Amino acid sequence: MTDRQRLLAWVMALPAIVAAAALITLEAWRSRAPESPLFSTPFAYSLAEAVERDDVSRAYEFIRAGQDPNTPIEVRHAVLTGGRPLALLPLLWAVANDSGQSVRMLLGYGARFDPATQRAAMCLAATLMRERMLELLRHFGAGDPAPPCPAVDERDGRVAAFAAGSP
Amino acid sequence: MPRWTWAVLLVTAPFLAILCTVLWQTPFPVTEAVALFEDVTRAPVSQFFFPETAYYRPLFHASLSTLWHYAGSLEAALAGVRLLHIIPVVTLLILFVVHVRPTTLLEAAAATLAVAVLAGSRGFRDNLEIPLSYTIVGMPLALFAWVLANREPRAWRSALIVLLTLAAIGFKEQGLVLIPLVVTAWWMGAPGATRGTAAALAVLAVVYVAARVAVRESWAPFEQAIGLGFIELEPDQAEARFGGFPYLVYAYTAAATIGNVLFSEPTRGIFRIVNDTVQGHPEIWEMIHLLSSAAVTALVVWWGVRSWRADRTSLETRLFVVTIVVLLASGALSFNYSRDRLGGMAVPFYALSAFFAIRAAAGRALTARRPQFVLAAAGLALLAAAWQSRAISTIEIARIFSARNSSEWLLLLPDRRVEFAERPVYLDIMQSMIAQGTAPGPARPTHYPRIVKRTLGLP
Repeated sequence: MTDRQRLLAWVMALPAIVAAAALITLEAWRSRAPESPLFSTPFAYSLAEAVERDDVSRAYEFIRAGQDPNTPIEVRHAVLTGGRPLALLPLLWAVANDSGQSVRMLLGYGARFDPATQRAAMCLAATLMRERMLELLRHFGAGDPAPPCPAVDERDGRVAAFAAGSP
Repeated sequence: MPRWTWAVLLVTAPFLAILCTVLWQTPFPVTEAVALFEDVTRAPVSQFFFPETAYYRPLFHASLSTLWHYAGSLEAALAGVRLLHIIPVVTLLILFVVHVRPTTLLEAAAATLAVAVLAGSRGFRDNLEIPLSYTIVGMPLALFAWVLANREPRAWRSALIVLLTLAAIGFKEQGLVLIPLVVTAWWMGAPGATRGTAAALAVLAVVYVAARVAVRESWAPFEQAIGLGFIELEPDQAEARFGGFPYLVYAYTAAATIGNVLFSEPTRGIFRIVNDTVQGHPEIWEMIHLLSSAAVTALVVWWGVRSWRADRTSLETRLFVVTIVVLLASGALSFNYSRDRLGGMAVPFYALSAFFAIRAAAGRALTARRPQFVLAAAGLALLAAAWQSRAISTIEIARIFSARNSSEWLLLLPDRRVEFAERPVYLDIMQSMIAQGTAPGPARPTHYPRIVKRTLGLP
């Protein structure tokens, strides 16, 4: 085999060898560190955090682990809760954050959508002027709520009136 | 087997192993799989053999039905359906390398590039959607028929070619490509493609087409959306505009599928790369796809014409002519609408031609003067790099299919429960498949830096 043949063969084969090595390296990395930002979305410490980010896969991990989608979760947000912790249904927290995918997931995996929840969700979406969310809720059967919706006090945070235990 | 053939298999192994792992971890989609399993639950197998539907895939449905009813458990049935997809992928790539059989370092290098052409082609990539294994099953069958057609004639080989053709057609109409393939091989003097085999397949083609046309009473002029130039038309729009005389659009659509194999453009009949280039914002991956495909096509044409002039009875000339015939047949069979996957049956032959063309180009470069040699070597290195990037993106696209399917199970259930409220079998199957759709650890896309995504063509 001449030098030319060897050179030509290696310049053609090198990309294949590099690609194979890169794939092996990447897969080894993936199996050692599956939670690396290269392979997954940021870790969520709570259902509330996952819903707030509308990271539906992370949110579902909590449901799969047994968290009841009908039990209020503790949420905290500078504007939405005025920086105070509040207990809110996951579905309402998804509505408050305009997290449409989370709404779909929660409805698909056990979240109740009874008339009281529908009314609260519609009022909350209307209060926060979430037009797309209103459309989504109507799509799932919620009717426009009869007035009055709960009054919002900005100092308490915009969702305080919808928190568990609120009148 | 020569050691250089083993070397190519070794270099191909990581790609193949990772792709198969991704396919194995991919959840079945709500949108396609549940309705298919509903079909095989409700209908007896015999019903799938009656050619009254526009989408006639009796063996695919029979395989699905057998697995669904007799696997013993849902998990076993789904594993079987996954294997129905994975085994053809493995068979295709291994058979390709073994058939090419590189015996020198230079041939091995050309073979690695040809494997990347096969794995990086859109016709291959677009057929990786589980459980739609229609064409991916036909691709290795076509390649195997070609291998047999070039061996010494034996009665069992002739019978096997007919069986392979029947199996490919049974999985999808695109399997009809095997008929012109074998007839052309016979016409070009391939030893294993006997006159009897060619005649039997010609009769089979006539019977198949007659049965399809006779049984189905009416055919919609356009079954699915079509691309035309820079736009897409829904079936009703296409019918309103071209329903009176659809034949020119059919010719365009057929040519679009052929163009997609040869130039990676258009896609679904739409010239997206040209459009983006004219608009002044072509993507890096678009240029890689267009130029790498055009370069391989140019090499194939050069090699084919050269082979034709040198010896019209040689294996290489035969392959060149068969590649053209298979391309034309794939195009003709996609006359109704063009999709990347519909060029799939031609892809193994395009890649096989690429191997011989690259080997011939390398041989030519070796005898060139120093400056031309350096240029040729640089060109081939760039071409190899471009196609390897396309092969890597095939794996990422398979991961994206997986993530999309996984999302479907998280997002679509409320809608599906309403939409299919009148179909309890559908809802039962959907309910039973939630566990596989939401199981932890599905294959997920790699979050590459933006520049890598732009190079690989990832969203």
